[in-house]
Amino acid sequence: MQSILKSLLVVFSSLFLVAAAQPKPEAAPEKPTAEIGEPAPAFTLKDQNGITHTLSDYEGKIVILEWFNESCPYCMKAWGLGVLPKLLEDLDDVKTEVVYIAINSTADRPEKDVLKTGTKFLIELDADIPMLMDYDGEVGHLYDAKTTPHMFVIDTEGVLVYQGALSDDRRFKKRKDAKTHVLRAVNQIIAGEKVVPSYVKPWGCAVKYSSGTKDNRINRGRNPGPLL
Amino acid sequence: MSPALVSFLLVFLTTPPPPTQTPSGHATVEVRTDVGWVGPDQAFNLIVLLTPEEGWHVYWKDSGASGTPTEIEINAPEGFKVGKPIFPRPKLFKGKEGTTYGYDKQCAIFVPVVSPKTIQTDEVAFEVNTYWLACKKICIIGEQNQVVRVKTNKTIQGPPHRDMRVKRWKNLLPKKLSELSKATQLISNNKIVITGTTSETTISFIGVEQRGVRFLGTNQLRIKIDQFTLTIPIELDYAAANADSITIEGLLLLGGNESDPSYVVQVVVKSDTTKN
Repeated sequence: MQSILKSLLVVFSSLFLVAAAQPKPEAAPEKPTAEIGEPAPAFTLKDQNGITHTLSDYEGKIVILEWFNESCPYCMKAWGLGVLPKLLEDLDDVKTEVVYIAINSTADRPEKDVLKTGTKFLIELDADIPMLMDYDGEVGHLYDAKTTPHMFVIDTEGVLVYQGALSDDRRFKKRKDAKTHVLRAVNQIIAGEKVVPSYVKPWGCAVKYSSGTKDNRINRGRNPGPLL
Repeated sequence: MSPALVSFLLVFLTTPPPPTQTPSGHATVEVRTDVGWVGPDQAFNLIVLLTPEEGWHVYWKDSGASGTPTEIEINAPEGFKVGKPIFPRPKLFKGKEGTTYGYDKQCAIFVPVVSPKTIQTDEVAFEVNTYWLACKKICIIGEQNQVVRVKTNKTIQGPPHRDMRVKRWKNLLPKKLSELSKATQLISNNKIVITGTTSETTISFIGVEQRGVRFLGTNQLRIKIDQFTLTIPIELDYAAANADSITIEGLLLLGGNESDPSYVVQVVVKSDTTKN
């Protein structure tokens, strides 16, 4: 019996040593579903007025997505200090039609409260943009939106060409005079240039996702098909 | 009066003022130096003590998966050279949406300063502006501007500060990688490979993302007795960096606690070095 136990001990020890010698993967970020240079993942969401928006509705247009949470101080400043209102004005002046959409994945409060306060915020700022409700965070996870704000620019072919920071002015020193990466990306698209940089690390508050959606995301993979 | 007594009185009299509390931002900032006074051509540190309120946390110089980095700006008197802030090893906050890096307790951020060869005044003032994002369930932007006045001596360099905490704070700062036994760092095929010797089995890396550098994919750790090899995939974009060379920065973390050692990884890579 003792010899059997000894043998077992040797076997288990060997197994342990082999296991210890194997490469150990560290916890690392999962591969985002939305990727630069790939078709932007499709989505269908309702806005604050109950109107349904599908990304393919905007075929042939440049689409800008802003992950939005009106209670995040960075969104408050971006809107309240005029950075985003100025961006909307500038986008009105570009030659190609641009669609600006806010997506609200905030789920740290009841959905009706998120809808109410987000809508009130935009009305008070006279911001006439759709705020799409993504309370379960599905679209947020699909795009791997990390912060509010986190900006995404989709070109007229439906390809994701920029994602990341709104601007480099995260302390809002330049206020509305800050040069945004969004306008730069839009201008590069219109000029037929490659969008560079296509990623700038986003800053802001963490997106306040609902709990329990992440596991659903892991095995879902890319949303099928291009938009066009 | 003996020189020792004079030194003691100078150190005693130049002890920085008590902490300044901020009513907002869910964190407080206090700034001091690590010397009794400053003499000519002297290297010393401004120490920014950032203390989040209970239950709140602030961020490292790279916030990780979300959040916003803590930033410090110094307006120094003429002739004083100010270096980049040195942050202590951060705590890793593992959340639903990835890992963020920061501090939920007081952290001491060191800002290296070198005084000019000639000092004309009896006192100099540094304006220290600290910006942070404090998060709990919600996030609040914090900012504090503080002026620190430091006594000077036109001929004699100042002694280290008598505050014993300074030594403890210094011990929490990242060390040079060369201080780790048999440590090497190199770039190979869009990967940073770090090797070294340690008895620790919890070994990880956190990177400082900047324009043109992303840390993607899964780090691979191999341990053979006490030799480790940590491989970190990176994505470099010289066009995004708008440069021919990129400095990749990060921290090698040994052990799982904030008080465990960390080492600075810094590799400059030129555009043709990483071509496969």
